[in-house]
Amino acid sequence: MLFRVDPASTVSIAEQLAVQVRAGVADGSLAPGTRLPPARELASALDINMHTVLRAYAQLRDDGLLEMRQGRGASVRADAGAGTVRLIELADALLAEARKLGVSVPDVVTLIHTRG
Amino acid sequence: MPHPTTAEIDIPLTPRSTVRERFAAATLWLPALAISVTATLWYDSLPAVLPKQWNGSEVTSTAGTEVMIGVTGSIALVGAIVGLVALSDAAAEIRRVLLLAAGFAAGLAASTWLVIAGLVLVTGSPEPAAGAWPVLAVVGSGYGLIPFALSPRRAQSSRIDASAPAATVPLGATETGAWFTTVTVPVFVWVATLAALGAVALGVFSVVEGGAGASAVITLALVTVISLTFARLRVSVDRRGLRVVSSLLRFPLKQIPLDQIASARAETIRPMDWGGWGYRILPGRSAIVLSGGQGIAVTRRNGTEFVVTVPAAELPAALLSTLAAR
Repeated sequence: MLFRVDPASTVSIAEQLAVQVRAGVADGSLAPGTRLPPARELASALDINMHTVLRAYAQLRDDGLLEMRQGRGASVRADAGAGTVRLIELADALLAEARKLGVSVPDVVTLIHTRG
Repeated sequence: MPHPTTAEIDIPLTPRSTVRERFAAATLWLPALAISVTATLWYDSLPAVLPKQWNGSEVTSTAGTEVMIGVTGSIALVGAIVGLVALSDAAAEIRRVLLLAAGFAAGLAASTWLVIAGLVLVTGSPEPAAGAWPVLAVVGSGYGLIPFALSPRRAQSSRIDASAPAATVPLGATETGAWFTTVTVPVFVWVATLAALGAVALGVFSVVEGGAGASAVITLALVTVISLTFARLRVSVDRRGLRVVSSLLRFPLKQIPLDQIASARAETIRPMDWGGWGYRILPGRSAIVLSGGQGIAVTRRNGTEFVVTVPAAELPAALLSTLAAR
């Protein structure tokens, strides 16, 4: 897949990478099981810090899109798809709305729990 | 840098052979000369029949001395004549490769003759134990590298219309792009597995039987390594250019820096045009062919071409054009 980063952008480079992987998973160009390039490789290809790439990969793993295995690098999780990405986007929107209204994160969690 | 200027092209040579090329072709007469001189000098001291093949220390087949001189001598002579043909203007583009091939054949013929006749003369036995000497005969094929190294590399006339505008990827002034893919060829994995199993089985047999079939074990081991090399490849396009890396054995197969790239495009690759699958080398162009279908085709500034098959090659080819034009 194609990765592109713009160091002049206001969005952090790690976030730029994460957005592209999410888009790839959502539109199916990154099929489940696809291996992402090793962090070191991607970092030197784009002339950015390896830890930036690792931060992006860690975020995507926490989102449930990637799995990271020792020695095998990062790959798209078997259960990741457009639905997973949609859920992440909804969670982001919910948090943004709560922040706007001054509702704290624990309160949002409680709100979700009472409904679940 | 959309178009290479004349000054950037390696050596703007005319098809006429240069002094160095003529000298390179002349070196091809040395194997034929060596065979005829030694055959004349040694003929009276050699037996009528010479060994031709060994299995371990035992001679398994023989050939008449005259036949041996005739065969090795004619191969070396053909090599020398091919060298002369290679000097013609029409053969300019493949001259260097022709000299390499001719030197390979002539060198192999001469060293085979010298090793066999030499062994018989030195040991005084018509059926001497060969030991490791046949290896030297094979090493003699490396003689082809001499005329190859002597002749200059020539720019190839491009078979592709490079004047057509290449597709590009719109990148911002401060933006960088990198593209990756991994190509897996299951057939090579199977071949590697079978060859490895065969090598182990034959290896055990070879140890038990005291060295029989050792060469087959080496051949199978080589097949394993080569199949593994091409079983999974990582192809990347970024600010460093186009790279093809063997993903399993972790070593680079091809690397073309951006400043050597004149143009890049997506092309349809037919394996038969390249004489099959794998790493193909033809005069002025090389390719890594893993499947039929699309591939990235790169024309270098010196006019040579490189192709690697990848699915959906338009995007990487366009990115390569964009990055090379920066």
